Order: sequence, then structure tokens, then C-alpha cells
Amino acid sequence: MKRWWLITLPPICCVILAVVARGTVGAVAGLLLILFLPGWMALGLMEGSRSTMAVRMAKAVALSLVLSVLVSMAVQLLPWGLSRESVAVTLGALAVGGAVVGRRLGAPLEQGFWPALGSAALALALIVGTVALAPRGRTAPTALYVESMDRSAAAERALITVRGARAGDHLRLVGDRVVEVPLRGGDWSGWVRTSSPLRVELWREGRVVRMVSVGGGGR
Amino acid sequence: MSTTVAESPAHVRSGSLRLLAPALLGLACLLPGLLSTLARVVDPFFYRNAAFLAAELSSPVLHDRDIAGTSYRLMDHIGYDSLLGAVARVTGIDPGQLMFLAVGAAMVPLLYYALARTLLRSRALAAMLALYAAYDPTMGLTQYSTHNYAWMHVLFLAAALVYGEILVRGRTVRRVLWLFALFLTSFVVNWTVPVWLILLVGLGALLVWCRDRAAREGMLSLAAAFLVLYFGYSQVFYRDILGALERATALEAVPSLLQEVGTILGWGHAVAGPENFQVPPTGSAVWDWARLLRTLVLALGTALPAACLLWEAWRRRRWSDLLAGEALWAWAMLGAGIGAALAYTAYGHVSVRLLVFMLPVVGMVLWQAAGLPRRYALGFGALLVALAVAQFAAAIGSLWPTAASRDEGLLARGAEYVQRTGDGRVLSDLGTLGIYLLEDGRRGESFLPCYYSAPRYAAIIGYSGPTEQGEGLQGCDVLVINLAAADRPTASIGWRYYEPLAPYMSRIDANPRLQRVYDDGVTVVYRISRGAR
Repeated sequence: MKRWWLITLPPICCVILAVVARGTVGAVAGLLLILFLPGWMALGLMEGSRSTMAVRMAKAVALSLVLSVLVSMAVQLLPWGLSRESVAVTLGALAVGGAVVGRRLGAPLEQGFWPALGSAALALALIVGTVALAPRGRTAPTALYVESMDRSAAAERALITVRGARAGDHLRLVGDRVVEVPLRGGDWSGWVRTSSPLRVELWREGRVVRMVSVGGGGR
Repeated sequence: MSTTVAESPAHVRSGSLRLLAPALLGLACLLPGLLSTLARVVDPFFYRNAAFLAAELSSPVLHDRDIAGTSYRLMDHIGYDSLLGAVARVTGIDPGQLMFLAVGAAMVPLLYYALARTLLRSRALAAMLALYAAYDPTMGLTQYSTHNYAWMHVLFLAAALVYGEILVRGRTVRRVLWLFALFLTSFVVNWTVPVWLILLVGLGALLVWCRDRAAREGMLSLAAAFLVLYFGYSQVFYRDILGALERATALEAVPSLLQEVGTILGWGHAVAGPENFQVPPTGSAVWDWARLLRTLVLALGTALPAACLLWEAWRRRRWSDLLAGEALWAWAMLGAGIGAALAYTAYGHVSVRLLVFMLPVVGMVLWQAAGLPRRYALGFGALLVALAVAQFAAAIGSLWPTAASRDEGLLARGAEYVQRTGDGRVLSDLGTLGIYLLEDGRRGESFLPCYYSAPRYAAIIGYSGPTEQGEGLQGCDVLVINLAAADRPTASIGWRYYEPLAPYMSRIDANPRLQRVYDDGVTVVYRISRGAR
């Protein structure tokens, strides 16, 4: 695997097949791209040939899983969102780019780098501990969800809960008509009628950050 | 061009033979997963994830969603949902099919083999452990597919492997970064595995400190970082576990476990009536015996070398011998398994999943550390594999679906009937509710399920003896019975199983509270009279 085309061709082919092909070929290419190739390409640079083939393959699968989970979470935040093309191209770019950059960088990280990393782990523990635990849940991500449903009454209703809202956030209830509920930050709960389909949106700085659909579908 | 030694025909032939053994091992390991795919074995809890995936497939951004009357909270396992979404989108496989894809069956045995090869000096033992991991039905029937268990077990095995390398071969930056990345990923995939990792790395660090205070493999700071990250960001901990503690329902699993043990020993009283039983979903005697023997072999196979090691250390008065090399990993893993079982009681259950999962490799490592004859270890491994294969065969035989139950069209017809009549809350077993949930997810809808409880079960079969007080059939509008699954234990939430409904079908038909309104030979639907609700 010393030639560039041998290193970069498999992931490029996989990306093309995963995007273009359908059926079994597309499925196999997609699975390879998500569960094996990115890790395999990255591992070739990290591990060298000291491990046995089985150990290298196992690590490649695990590393691919790490990359795929992080990539699929990340692309949701990008404008094009989670799609066949975005996931395939990003993973392919990581596999090819990782190989190219790794070859350019050459040797793995030096052992002497550890003391700095050890201090970093301790510092991270202290910083996150101080910020996140006092008060509890301060850095908890914002959540919007249906706390409970009440469909036994004449009118269906749902208890909507927002956690970790910021000052200036507002809820937008989009149903037969649109209702806006300003939030003051922190946690908020309130009952909403769901006799007809209702979309509850949490707005922050001019865009929807959370959304949940309730009602209408229930029988 | 001259032929080099490496390319000579003899060398190529021996290379091919060397490849044959792992290829055959891989196929043997994949076989139970493929059979499970054909049998469409599924953990009913998986349907909720699949229904969410089906409903969100057209959306580029995943959102919290109302499913079956409760909110599907994305933040509980956002990495898992995103990954499943990515797999479905890139491969183009329908969520209903993706549930049965044998991905875990290929990954878990590979990781198990790699872990065993890292810690054990025998390739044959590692192969046996890989086979065991593939055939063990208590884990295999849920981790063979794209269920959360598949991903979380792969991540944990990889972390255990890297941690084993750190303890045995030394700490390097690359390995520490590896471990950190695996922790972070497992944190967003499932909330259980980070707890396992915190326990493993924390206990390992303590043991290293006990052995040699100047050793660099301890990484107590990394364990602290894991701990702080977990308590800083774990939504499940603050919402569910702390909530359970506040409601004083935590640790209730401990007295219930003690009560069960007391009942077995004749010290307690069994609850009268159709008591739930928490056994695997098969009535096979082979399953029961293989399970019992396997548990005994696992316990003995670990206890014996552990006792030998302890005796030898005590005899020589050199306790640091206990913590040499791979043995330290094994003790830390054993402690993590016990710690995880105790920690899980806060969630309301006693779970020995980590112990069951890791005990084979822990036992083998201790065996190796105790210096016991290798042939006995091979015998121990072979016995474990044989029992796992026997148990798997019994399970897959009883779970193999009939032609009617494989007909998705027929099952969907029952779901369509219930949907069309708009009969509100549907009472059924967890598997059937899951199929309905998935069907509704595809349409972007959701329905309200009714789950089995002992009083509900008693009310359906017309049981008039003493039983637990409860809600009876209140709040349920229709009863749906999937005839193809009626001869299997009836699954409900909270990992509860009730007796199969098949023997009680005539009593259900005679129940004046139930009116049979639909029967297509696969699905039977009863309307529950209003007085009964």
C-alpha cells in the first residue's frame, strides 16, 4: 500500500458507489464506508504493522464506529443536514484526508507528549467539574419534550417541558393557529391542547433549535 | 521480473492455508447472526428506535418526537440515533429491514477475538472465546443486529482492549487518546457503557496504585475526567436515576432480589395468581439445562484460578503477584462487573450483563495467570462453546417463525384494521406493539399502547383467584393477539414476561368482557367492553 492511488482509491470508489448505487451494491459500499474504511485508513498510519491482522481489523471497526458516530452527529448541525451524500462524502473525505495528512506528518506522536496530556485531562476534569456541576445542570443541553399526555379528557392535551432555556427563547405552537410563548430561561412546563396536529418549536436567535410534534396521529 | 521468495508458489499456498482458518472461524461466528436474521429475532424494545428512525428518515435534522404517548428523547442516545440514521440513509436499507441486519454478529466476535488475542497467549483459546461470544444467546440474540447493544458492546470491547494494552504494554499517548475517544463515543451512544468504563479504569488505576505507586499505567486523572464528564452531562442520571432516588424507588431491586432468593429457599411467600416470570423466551429443556451448566462452568472456571492465585499469593506473602500483567486487567474487569451490577440497582434492576459478557475472558486470563495447565483451559473453553451452541440451537428452534408470521402483509393488515377503526389504546405483547409502532412510524403517526401487567393478564384469561390489585383492563380499548407468537411468553415492559396466551385462547374467547371483532388467521382483535375498562 505504498502508492497513493492504492491508498486513496478504495474510499473514493466506496463513496461513489454509496452515493450512486442502489440495492445490494449500494448497501455493501455504504456499510464498508461507515463501519470499516475510515478506521482502516486511519489505523494504517497509527498502528504500523506491530499488531496482528485480527487486532488491526478490530481496531479499524471500532475507530470507524467512533468516526461515523461523530460525523453523523456533526453533519446534522451543518446546513445540508443528515443525508446519504453528506455522510458518505464526509466519511470518504476523512478516510482519504486522514491518509494523506498522516503520510505528510509521518511518525506518530512522541511519547514525551504525555505529561502535557496528563495535565490536560486533569485540567479538563477541574474545569468541567467546576462549570457543569455548580449549579447542577447549568451546562445541560436545551431539551424540549412531551412530559405526559392526557387523552382521557374531552380535549386531548400534552404537558410540554423545556429544560435549559435561555432568556429570549420562545416557544411557537403551530397548529390551527400559531401561538407564541416567551420564555424567561431555565425550565418551563405547560399544558397544550392537541386535538389537532400540533408542532411545538423552540426558537432561539431567529431559528428553531428544538422541535416536537404531538397530537393528531393518536387514535 | 524475477520471482522473490515471498511470491513463490509454495509461500502463496501456505499463505492461502493460513487465511483459510480465520475465514472459516469468521463464517462460523457469523452463522448465528445470519440465522437470527432469517428468524427475524428482535428485542421488542428495538421497535421504538426503528419507529423513530422510520418517522425521521425524511428529516435532515433529528428531533425529539412523540412516540406511543411518550417523548422519544434524542439526548439519551443521540449518537446511536444519528448513526442508525446515517446507516439507513447511506445504505438505503429500510428501517424495518435494518433491524435484522447481522452487523453486530460480524463485529462483536471480531472484537472479542482481538481482545482475547491481546491478553491470552493462545490463538486457539481466543478462537473459542470468539465462538462463544457469537453463539451465547443471552447476549447474541440482541447484539447480532444494529440494536444499541451491538454498537455499545463493540465500543466497550475496543476500550477494554486498549486498556489491556495500556496495562500490559505500557501507556502511550496514542492509546490514551484512543481510550478517550471511545469513552466520548460510548457516552453519546448509550449511558451504560461509560459507567462500565469509569469502573474499569478507576478500579484499574487503584490496583496499579496498590501494586506500584510509581507506575505510570494508573491514569487516575483519566478516570477522574471520565467521572466528571459523566456527571456533568448525563441527562439520564439526573432525570431518571436521581429522580428514582428522590422518589425512593431506587435500590428496590435489592429487596426484590432477596425476596426471590428467600422464596426459592422457602423463607418467603410467592405471589398468588399469574405471576410474571423472568426467564428467556423459550420453554426448551435444552435451553434450561445448557444455561444452568454454562453458569456453573463460568462461575467455577473463574473461581478456581482466582482461588489458586489468592492461595499462592497468601502462601508466599507477596500480594503484588496477584496484580502482575494481564491479571490486573482481569481483576479490574471483575470488579467493574460487580460494580456495574450494584450501580444498575439504582435503575430498578439487578443487571449482571457485564459480568456475563466478560466472565469467559476474565476466567481465561486468570487461568493463564495462575499457571494452570493449558489443556484444562482449552477444555473449559470447548465446554463453554458447546453449551453456548446447544443453548443457541434451542433458542433459535423455538424462535423460528412460522410461514404465517413471516408474512409481513398479513401482520400489516391487522395493524391497518386497528388503525382504521381508531380504537384508541391497544393492549398487546411488546413484539406486536412494536410492529404496529413501526407501521405507524412509517406514516408519521403514533398510537397509545397498553402494556401487560399481572392484573391485566388475569382479567384477560378470566382468572378469578387472588392476584395483585391493579388497574385491570381500565384504559385499554382493544386486545390484539398475534397467533404466531401466542405460544411464546408474553413480553411486557420492564423486562417482564408472562405465560404464553395460546393455552388460554378458549378462555379468552369465553370472556364476556371481550368481543372478537377481527380474525385473519394471524391476528385476532378483541374489543374490550366499556364496563371492563
